[in-house]
Amino acid sequence: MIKKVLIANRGEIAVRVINACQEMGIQTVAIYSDVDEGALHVHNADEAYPLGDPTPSESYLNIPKILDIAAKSGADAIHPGYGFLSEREEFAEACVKAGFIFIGPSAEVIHGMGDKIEAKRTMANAGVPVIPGFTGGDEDGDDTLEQACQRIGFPVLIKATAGGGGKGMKVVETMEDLNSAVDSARREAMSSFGNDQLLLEKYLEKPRHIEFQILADNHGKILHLFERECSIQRRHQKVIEESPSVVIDDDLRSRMGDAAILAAKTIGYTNAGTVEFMVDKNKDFYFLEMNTRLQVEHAITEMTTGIDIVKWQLRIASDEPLTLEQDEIGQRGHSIECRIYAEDPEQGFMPSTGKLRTVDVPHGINIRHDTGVKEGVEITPYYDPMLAKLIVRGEKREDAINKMKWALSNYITLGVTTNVPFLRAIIAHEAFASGDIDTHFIDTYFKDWIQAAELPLEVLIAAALDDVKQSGLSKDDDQRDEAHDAHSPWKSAGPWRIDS
Amino acid sequence: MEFQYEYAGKSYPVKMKRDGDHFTATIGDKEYEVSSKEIKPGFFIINIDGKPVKVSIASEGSQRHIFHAGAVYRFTKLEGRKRGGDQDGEISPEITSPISGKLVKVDSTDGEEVEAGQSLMTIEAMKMEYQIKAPYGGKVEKVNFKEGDQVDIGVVLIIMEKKEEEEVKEE
Repeated sequence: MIKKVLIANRGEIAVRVINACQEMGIQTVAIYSDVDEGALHVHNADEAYPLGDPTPSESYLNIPKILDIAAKSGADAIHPGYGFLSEREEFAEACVKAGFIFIGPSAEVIHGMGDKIEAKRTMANAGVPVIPGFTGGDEDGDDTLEQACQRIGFPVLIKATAGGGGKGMKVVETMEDLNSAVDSARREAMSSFGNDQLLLEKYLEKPRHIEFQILADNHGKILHLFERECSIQRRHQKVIEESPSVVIDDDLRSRMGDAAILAAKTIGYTNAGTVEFMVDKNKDFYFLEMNTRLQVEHAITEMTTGIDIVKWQLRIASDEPLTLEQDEIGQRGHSIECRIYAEDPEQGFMPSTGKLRTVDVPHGINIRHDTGVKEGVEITPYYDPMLAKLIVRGEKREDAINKMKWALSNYITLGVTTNVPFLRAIIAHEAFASGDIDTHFIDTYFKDWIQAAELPLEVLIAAALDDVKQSGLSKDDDQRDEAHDAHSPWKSAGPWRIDS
Repeated sequence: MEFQYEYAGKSYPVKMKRDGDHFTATIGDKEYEVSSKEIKPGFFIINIDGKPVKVSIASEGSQRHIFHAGAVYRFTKLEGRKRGGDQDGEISPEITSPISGKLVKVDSTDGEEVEAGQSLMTIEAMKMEYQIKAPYGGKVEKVNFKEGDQVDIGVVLIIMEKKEEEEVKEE
């Protein structure tokens, strides 16, 4: 068994992996950039080492630095989390070369699935259904992007070949928009992945994004842990996920599960992974891509199957066989996850920064909160703006929705703008309640969403009462407004005050 | 004591008068008997005409963040004396960066006439692109940065003069 794991990540996922290791008696090593010194993962790990400069390329993406710390700390394995280096084949390779166990699939598998064109081709050859499109490969002949668009028909989706997480993705409605979208996608792809190759595909009608969780050991056994519906997205990134999906019946579930296992088998997959599919309004499903790592939304699968995916990652990486059997794994109840982002839904989901002044999170039966931040930390623009994941489980979908509504209504964060009110509006929407969702859901129902046009009376009175009390603390009369900013007593305690 | 707050472009005046351990709040032509009790730092129970309401408050300078009934309201407290005339109606000629990132594309040049909603520049932050669009039609006076520049949140990206024929409201 692995004895000591370095977690090459930050935020909630680093905390999640640290917790699993500690439960299993495995030592943990955290790494952190200068701006993350006070972060939760640093605090929770058994040891923590600084990376210095917060720029991703100098910190969480810096392979030599990370391997150096791994060696110094005496770790025998490295968990990449998600994002950052998790899907970089050169990292998996460098870990193994330096004598560490990489907790994930082989570099070869990551390479095969990292190139989206090659991945689709591999899957199509193995008999897994794929979406019609254009890859620029031999099967497309001499077609240009323009000709391919005419052949496939608008709208088309442009994606970065090396992409993921919605980066470098654009929907193009007309031929006139093609050139500028291609330029922009190439720039995003180049800066995110160092590779500006693009692919095109047909944009499906009423498409749902449904994925299957896979576990595969080093001895040839592959299982699936059922589906996750991840259709609620903004900027092509998931916001709300649930399991099971309302659109999948037993027959479709079993066919998609088989396809997912076939996909994993075809490439010799090991460890935890996810096979992503698109399901259209005719309930036809198509292979989209494979994520060769732990996913953000793995928790809803854990809630419904009772299986700890991260612990299995550690056991599989230690060469232990999967002792679970497919027919013993079931889905119980219904789970929903909301991603809490530091962003402003009223400003095009622009990431927001600042100091988290107040964090008060709901607790209760079947409520799980995975986070990497705490009160008082600074949210910086260096990394992904996801602060936390709020996950609930109910006996039925309706129970889960009601629980999520309650939990979001009691989820308090002040100081940094978050998408919590937006999530609450989605969960409360009748289209969500009826399960009539697809990947355009947010554009369809929440295009120009604003929280409220008017300030409620209660809020207005609360502000005035607070300001009256503040005025009593500083000056003795109504003139205090002028001096307020410069001489306020809470200045010394940092720019924000939360008491009165 | 009178306070004035601004939310979503509207201003909200409140008059507060001490009345023993209570206050009387006057909003418009209505009066409310109000008081508040702090449960723990930042968390309050407000009493409005006998009805209790839970809120959480964080403030910085003139900014207010108040959590109430599942929503967070972000708004501004206006200073007692207005600076340089009318604050409500005036449109700032300065277009500031809403985010820290790298300028990957500049679509506007000094002296150019632009329409409302037209893209002025594109900033990349956290590997995503954000378009800076003209908030109103007018003339670009000065573009302060060039492609490839790193910009910080709040810096003035562009100075832009609003087109004259559209009337500025509340003036």
